[in-house]
Amino acid sequence: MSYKIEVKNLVKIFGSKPGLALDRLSRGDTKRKILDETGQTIGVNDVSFEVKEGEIFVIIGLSGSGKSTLIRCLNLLSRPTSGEIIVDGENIVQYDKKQLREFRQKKMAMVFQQFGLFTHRTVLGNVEYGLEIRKIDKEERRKIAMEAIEEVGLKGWENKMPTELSGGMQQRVGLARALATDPDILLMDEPFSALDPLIRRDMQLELLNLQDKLKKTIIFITHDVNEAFKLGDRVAVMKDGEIVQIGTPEEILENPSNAYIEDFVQDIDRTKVVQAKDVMKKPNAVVSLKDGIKVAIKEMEYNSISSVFVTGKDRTIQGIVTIDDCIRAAKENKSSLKDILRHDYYTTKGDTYIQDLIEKATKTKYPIVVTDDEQKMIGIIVRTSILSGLLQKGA
Amino acid sequence: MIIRFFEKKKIVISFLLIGIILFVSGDVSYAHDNTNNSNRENNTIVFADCGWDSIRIHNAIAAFILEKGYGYNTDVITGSSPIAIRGLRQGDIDICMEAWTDNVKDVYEPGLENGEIVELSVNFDDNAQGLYVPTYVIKGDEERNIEPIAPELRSIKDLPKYWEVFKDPDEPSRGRIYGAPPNWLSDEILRTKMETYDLKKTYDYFNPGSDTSLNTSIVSAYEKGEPWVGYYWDPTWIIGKYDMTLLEDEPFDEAKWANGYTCEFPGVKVTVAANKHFAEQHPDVVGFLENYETSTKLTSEMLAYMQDNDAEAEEVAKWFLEEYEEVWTQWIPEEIVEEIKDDPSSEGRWFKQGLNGFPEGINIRLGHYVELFVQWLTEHCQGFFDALGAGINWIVSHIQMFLKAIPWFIFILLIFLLGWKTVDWKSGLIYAIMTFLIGGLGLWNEMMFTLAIVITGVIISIIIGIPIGIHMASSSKMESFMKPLLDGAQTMPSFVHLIPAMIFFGLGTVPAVFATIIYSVAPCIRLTNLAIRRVPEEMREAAYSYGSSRWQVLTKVELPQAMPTIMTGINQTTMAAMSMVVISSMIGAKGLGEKVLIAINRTDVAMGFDSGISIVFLAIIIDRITQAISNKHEHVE
Repeated sequence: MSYKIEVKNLVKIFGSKPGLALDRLSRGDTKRKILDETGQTIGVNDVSFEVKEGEIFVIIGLSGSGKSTLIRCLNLLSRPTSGEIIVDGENIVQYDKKQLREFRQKKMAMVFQQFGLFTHRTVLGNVEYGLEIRKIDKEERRKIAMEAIEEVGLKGWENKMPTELSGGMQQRVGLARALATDPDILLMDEPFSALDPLIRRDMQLELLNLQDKLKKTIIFITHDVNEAFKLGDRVAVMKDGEIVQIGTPEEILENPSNAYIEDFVQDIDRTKVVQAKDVMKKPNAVVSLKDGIKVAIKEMEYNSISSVFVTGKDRTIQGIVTIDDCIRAAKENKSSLKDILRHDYYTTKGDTYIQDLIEKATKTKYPIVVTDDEQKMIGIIVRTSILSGLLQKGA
Repeated sequence: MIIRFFEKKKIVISFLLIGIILFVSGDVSYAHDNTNNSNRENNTIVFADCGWDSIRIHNAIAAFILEKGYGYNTDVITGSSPIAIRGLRQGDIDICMEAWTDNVKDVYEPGLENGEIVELSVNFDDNAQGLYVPTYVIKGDEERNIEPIAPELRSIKDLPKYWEVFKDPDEPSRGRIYGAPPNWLSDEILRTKMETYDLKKTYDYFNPGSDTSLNTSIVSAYEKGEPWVGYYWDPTWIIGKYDMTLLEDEPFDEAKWANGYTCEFPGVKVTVAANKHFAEQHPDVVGFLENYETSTKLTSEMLAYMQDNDAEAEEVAKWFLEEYEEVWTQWIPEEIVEEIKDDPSSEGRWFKQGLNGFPEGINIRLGHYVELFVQWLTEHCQGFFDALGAGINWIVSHIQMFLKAIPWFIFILLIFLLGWKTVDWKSGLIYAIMTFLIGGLGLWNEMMFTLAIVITGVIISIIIGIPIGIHMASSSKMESFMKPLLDGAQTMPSFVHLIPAMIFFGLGTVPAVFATIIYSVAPCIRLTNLAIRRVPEEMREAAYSYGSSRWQVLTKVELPQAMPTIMTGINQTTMAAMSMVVISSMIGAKGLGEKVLIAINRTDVAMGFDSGISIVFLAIIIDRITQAISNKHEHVE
C-alpha cells in the first residue's frame, strides 16, 4: 500500500557547520561527543517512518527529544539537513519556494501549542488567514471560514479578538484555522498541552469526533502518554532525536522494545488504552436459537461452563441460557430455548475502553458480549480479563 | 517596557524645560552676582577664551609672562564672546585679551559705562573685515582644476551681476551672502549695506547662526571648490589658511560711513579689557597689560605659525617670546624681563608634563582620519549629496508652503480637532490655546518653519528607519552592525552631528534636516527592530505554515503586531527631531531655534523666554498627539 507521508533517514542538525556533524554521525559518533567537539546540536537523527492516509499518527517524547523539530521538518519550517520527506509521492524537501508555498497552502496545516493566533485579528480574521494568503475572494473565504468556525463550535464568537477567549476556545480557533484550508494533513504540535485537564479531554474527544467525519491524516505531537495512546492509531516514541519504537498503542504496551519505553509506559493507565476488542476472545461455545435445549446442555457440558450465549441468524445475539434453566426445562420436556432466554447480560462495542467496562464487569456474572453495529456477536470478554487488567495497573 | 519608552521621552521634554529654565535663570543671576568670586584663589588670574585661536595665543603669552614674571597662577574660562564679556563684568573672568568691541558692544559698552570693566589697552585695531570670496572664484585654481567663475569680480559693487554664481541652495532664484553672526555690530552694518548697495534685489542675506558655523560654511565651500561670498575678518586662521580675497569697497570715509555705510569697514578696536575690581587690586598686572600691544600682522603671523606647525597656543606663545623679544620686553619692567629669561625651567605650568599628565608622545589622531574620510566623501560623492540636498529641500519647502497656506485660525482649529480626536476635547482646547499663544508671541512663522523641518525629518526618518529596523530584526549580523552605530548616533552630543551635516550640505535648512534625521532616526530603527523581534515565534511560524511569503508575513503579521511599539518609536523620533531642530539653528536652520540662539547671543531674557516657551508648547502638542495616536494602536496583549 502506498503511504500518505514517508519520511526517510531524516536528519536535522542545528549549528553553523552541519556538514561536519553529518560526517561524524555517519562515523558513529554520539550526539554528546559531536556537541562537545563541534558545537553542533543534533535535533533529529536518522528518523524514518510512514503515515497512512486517514490515520492519527502520534509522536511522543519527553521535552528535548526532538519531536517538535521533527514536526517542523515536515512542513519545512525547519529545513532538514538531510533525508527525504515524501508526501503523495513527491519529495517536498526539493520543492522550490513557490512549490513549497503552494504545498503549505493546500496540503498541510498546523496547529500550535501556544495556539499561534494573530492577536491583531478577530477570530474570523484568524480563520480566514490561510484562505487570504491563497487570494481567495472575500465573500468566498468568509463563507468557508464561517463553516469552519461552526464546525469547532465557535459560532457567534467570530468577531471577538482571540485574547477575549479562553484557552480551549483559542485552540478551537487554531483548529478552525487549520480546517478552513481543507488540508489533507494536519500537523498538531502539542495542541492540548497548554489546556487544563478537563478541557483537554473535551478537546481530545472533539478531535476524534471531527476525525470520524473528516478523515484527515493527522500527525500529533504530545508528551502525554495517555493522550498519545488514546488518540493514536499508531504511536512513535522518540528519544534523543531518534524514534525508538513505532506501533499501535497495544503493541507498545504489550511489547515495549526496550527499558526506556517500558519506563515510559509504566505510568500509563491501561484501562484507558486497552479496548474491548483487545481483550475479547472468541467464545468457545455458542448455540443457535434453533438448536434446542439439548444441544445447549451438551455444549455446556463439553466446555464445562455454566451458561452459553444464544445467537440467531447471522450470529446476532439473542440472549443467554444457564445450565440450571436448561436442566429444569428438559425435565419439563420443553425443547425451545426461546422460553428460557435470559437478557440480564451486558453488550459492548469493540472500541470501548476497558475503563468503561469495569462497572459492568463487577455487576454481572456473565461474560460481556462484544457486538458490532448490527448486533452481531464478535466476541466475549470474561470478567477476569477486565479485573486482572485493573490489578496490572496497580502493580 | 513600553512605559520605559514614555519615560525616556519625558526626559527629552524635561531637558528642553530645564535648558530653558537654566538659560533664563542664568541670565537673571548675572544681574545679582556682581561681585568678585571670593571662592577663587586670590593669585589665580582667569582669562576669557572666546573660542578662536588668536585669543588663545594672546592668553598664552600673557599667562606665561604673568606666571614666570609675576608668580601668578592662571586659568581660562571658555564661552562665546558675549558670554565671556558678561563674565568679565561680573568678575568670573578677570581678563579678556581680545575684546572685539564693536562685535560685542551690547554687553561691552554697558560694562564700561557701569564701571564694571576697564579697557587696559588696544591689542590691535588695524584689522580688516568685509565681504570675502575664495580667490579661486576670481582667478581659478589650476592645481585643483577650478575654472575662474567670476573673473571680473573685484568689488562689492560687482556682486549683483554675479548672483547666479552664489546661488542660495534654499532659494535658487537668488544669490546668498553669508552674513555676520547675529548681534555682531557688523551684522547690522551688512544688513544696511544690502540696501545701500542694492544687493537685496539679487541676494538673500543669510544668518549663519554663529561665527563657528560661518567658519564651517567657508571650510566646506573651500574644500569643495565651490563659490562662496560672505562676511569675514582678519586676523583669523581661516584667512591665514585659505586664500581668500576681500572684495574692494570705497575707501573708508566718516561721512560715507555715517550715510548708510557706503564705504569699507574701519578696523575694529580690539582691546585688552579687565574686570574693574580685579584691576584695582592688581596694579602690577594692569601695568603690564596697559602696554600689551600687537598688530594684525603679528597676530596673523602667529596664527600662520600655529597652522603650519599644527601647534598649540602655548607653543606659539613660546615661539613668539623667542622670536619677538623686542616686542614683549617693551611691555614689562626690566627686572621682570630678567626674571622670565632667568627662569631655568623656562617651562610654565602651561607646558608642565608630570606623571599625572598623559604622555604627549602618544597621539592618536582618530578624528583626523574621520576628517580625511569626510573630506574624501565631499570630494567624491558631491553629486550624490547635491541631489540628496535638492530632494530634502524640495520636501521641506513644499511642506512649509503647505503649512503657510493654511490660514492661522484654520490651523488652530485643526490643532483643536486633532487634540480632540486623539486625546479629548479639553486637551484639544489647551493645544489650541498654546498654538494661539505662540502666534501671539509673534513666532507664528518660526513655528511653521520648525514644524516643516520636524515633519520632513520625521517622514524621512520613518522612510529610512522602518526598513532598516525590519532588516535588523531579521539579521543578527545587521543588528550587531547597527547597534553601535545607533548607540553612537544617540549618545554622541547632538552638536557633533552638525559638523558633517554642514560639511556635506553647507549651512541652511538642508543640513538641519540632515542632522535632525541622523539624530532622530535611531529610536525609530531601534524600536522597529525590537518590536519585530518581539513578535512571538509561533505566530511567525503559523503565518509561514499557511504558505505566506516573506512579504505577507511582514505585512499581515509582523508589522501589525509591531505597530504599537513602532508608534512609540515614531513618537520618540518626533521628540528627538524636535530637540534637534532647536540645536540645528546653530547651522542656520530658521525657526524657533534661531530665536533661542539669537537670544543666547544677546543674552536677551524676553526673547529667550518667548521662543523657549513656544518650543515647549510645540513639543507638548506634538508629543501628546503622537503619543495618543500610538496608544490607539495598543491592543490587548
